Amino acid sequence: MGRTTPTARQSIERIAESIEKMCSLMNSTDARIARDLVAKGRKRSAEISFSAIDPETGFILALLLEIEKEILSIRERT
Amino acid sequence: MEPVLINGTGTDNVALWYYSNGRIRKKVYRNPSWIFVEGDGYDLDRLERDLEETRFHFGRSTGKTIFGEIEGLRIYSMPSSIGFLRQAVESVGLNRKFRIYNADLNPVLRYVSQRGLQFFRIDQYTDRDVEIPSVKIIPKVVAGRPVSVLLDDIPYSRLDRSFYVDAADAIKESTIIVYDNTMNSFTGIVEKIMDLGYDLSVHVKPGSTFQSYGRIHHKNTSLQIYGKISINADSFIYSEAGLDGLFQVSRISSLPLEIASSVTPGTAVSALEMSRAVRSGYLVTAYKDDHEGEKSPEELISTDRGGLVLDPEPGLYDDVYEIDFSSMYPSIIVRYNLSPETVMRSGTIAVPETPYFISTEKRGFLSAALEDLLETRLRYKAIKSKDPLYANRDVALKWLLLTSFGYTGYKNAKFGKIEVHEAITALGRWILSTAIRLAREMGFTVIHGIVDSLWIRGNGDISTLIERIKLATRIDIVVDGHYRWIAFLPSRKGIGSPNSYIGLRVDSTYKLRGISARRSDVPTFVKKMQVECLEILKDCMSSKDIVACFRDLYSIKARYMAEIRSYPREELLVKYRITRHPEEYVSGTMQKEIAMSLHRMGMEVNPGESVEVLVTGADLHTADIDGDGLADRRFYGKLIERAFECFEYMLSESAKISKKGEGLQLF
Repeated sequence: MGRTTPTARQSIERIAESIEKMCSLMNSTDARIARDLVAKGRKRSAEISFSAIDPETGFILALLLEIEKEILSIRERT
Repeated sequence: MEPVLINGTGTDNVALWYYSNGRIRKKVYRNPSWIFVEGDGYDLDRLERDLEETRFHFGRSTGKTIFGEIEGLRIYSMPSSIGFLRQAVESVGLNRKFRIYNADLNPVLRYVSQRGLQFFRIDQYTDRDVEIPSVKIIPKVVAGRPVSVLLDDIPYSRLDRSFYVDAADAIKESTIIVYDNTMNSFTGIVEKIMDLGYDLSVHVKPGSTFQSYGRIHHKNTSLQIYGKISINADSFIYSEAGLDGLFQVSRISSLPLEIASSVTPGTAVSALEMSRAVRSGYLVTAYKDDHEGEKSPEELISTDRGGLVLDPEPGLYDDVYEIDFSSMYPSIIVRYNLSPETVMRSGTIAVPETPYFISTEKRGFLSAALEDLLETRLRYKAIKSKDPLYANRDVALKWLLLTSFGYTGYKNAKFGKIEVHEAITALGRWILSTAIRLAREMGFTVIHGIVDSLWIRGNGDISTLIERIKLATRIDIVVDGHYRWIAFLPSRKGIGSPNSYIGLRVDSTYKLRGISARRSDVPTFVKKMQVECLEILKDCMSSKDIVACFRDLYSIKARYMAEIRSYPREELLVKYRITRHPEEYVSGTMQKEIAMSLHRMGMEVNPGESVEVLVTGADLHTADIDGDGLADRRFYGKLIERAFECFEYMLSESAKISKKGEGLQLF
């Protein structure tokens, strides 16, 4: 029993770990924003897993989607 | 009363135990057996020439496997010689030229299955099992020593001569002996009984430590008392479903009760499949060599996936339905005819997102074997609230069905195949995504989903949705819960946690997952605090009412914080699992200190065993094992804080909802 390939969630966690390493060299403001972006990317791991898309592409798309949502929400308010 | 077959023992001579009118009659039968060898004609000729020099009888024959008929050699032997015979055949065939069948079947299972017999046979599924005299002996162990014993639920706080006499009489008068042998406590009791002059013939099977899914476990030493059916209470099936569940497993798997109690649910499923194969005249391979088929990297990535698990948006939700597919994976196997011989690269039905097809030309072996199991389970599930007997049978069957899926991917499973495993999960994902689509089409919002369950809310007609999903997926689905409100709790990463929620149903009962109240390693008094808080929240008709409980919740927390040292010792005990021998620990941890302390007290704890202690100094890893030490306020305070976090979160979310009205952030 056992898997042959990492799950999408595991792949995303690996991306998050790498970004966390980057954060350790950033100033605190940038690191906070980077961590916030990671949280945004993590939000879509179920959909990334379901689609079998390349996790890195899925992660970037998830980020863009969340950012786009925030832009739309700001536009609606102004 | 018709005699009921309750047990079978032996190898070359099988003793069948029939129970009738309070008496057991044992009938002994000869149990001649055979193995089947498949191979190249030339190699079989050579094997025949070698066999002519031996005492074994043999002959050319045709056999039936789930994949079709095969030609080979049938070699007759008594079961006790089959192991030797198999080794001899393998060495003649240089361990690669022959496929050997029916060489590792349990002799009793094979005897019972070949003759169409059944343990604990009942006519109707609602019938009760025979009442067999039984006794339960459960010692309570503190710091490695038994301090009291429950003998059939009667407590004996002094382990004196009168206790041992009562225990010996109870064992003598009973057929089934259920015992707990934590830290060899029952072994000690049996030794004392024998010292008193009672004649007990006992076979001891040493305990073992093993690793499973990254966790160290310990199986206690087992005792077989001759002439009795001895059940170790640490048996998984017994601990989940009691004797009722064990009878059910023995009934459907053809495993004798004692063996059924000592195996995992996976092995019981495997036995059920082997029994079915024997009953249907199929040969059972001794080892598999049907490896995973070739795949391109893209195919591997797209097929090697599990069930669909969504991440819920953390928050509070009102008026939520939980809909559950009943035994989803086994139902997929049965309804979609999945079996090693029916899942192939071409066929009638395509499996979504995989290169596989399902053949519908004939009923698959696995789907047929699991059909009875599934139907029986669904029947008991429907009536489980009427009688604990049915609830126990339902639980036992549920575990067997759960493992039946995993077993399809196990390399040594007799009737498993990785492609079947992948087809099941692929269909599972398709089914859940279809249900999500239909729910949305009917005006529902999907809040969360885990493999075979969905949490939805909205104004659609739930009954119509259930019917549409059933029709589209061919898998039964039911409304498993209707919640007044449900809180999906955040994980430490800030996103939703799939398995951490608190839901209050409309009938004022809770469904709880992932909180302290559900954990076995959390002290009782911390669980009590959560339960008290949950009792307060029972009056909240919607999520916005929760914030009004602010004062009550915080006062409960404050009371528990202030009274840490006033709780009885038993309520403060924390369970630690020892994972190594004392000398093997490298860094100073609480587990190491506990193992060392017990070692100094002359008691050995096996890796995988758990010990309950009162934590007296978490920072210095000091704990009180059997005395009256003082609880470490900081340590227990932290546990309270952690257990209270979920209520803090719910209060803050409720406050937001009360202020702004509900905001939805959903899939």
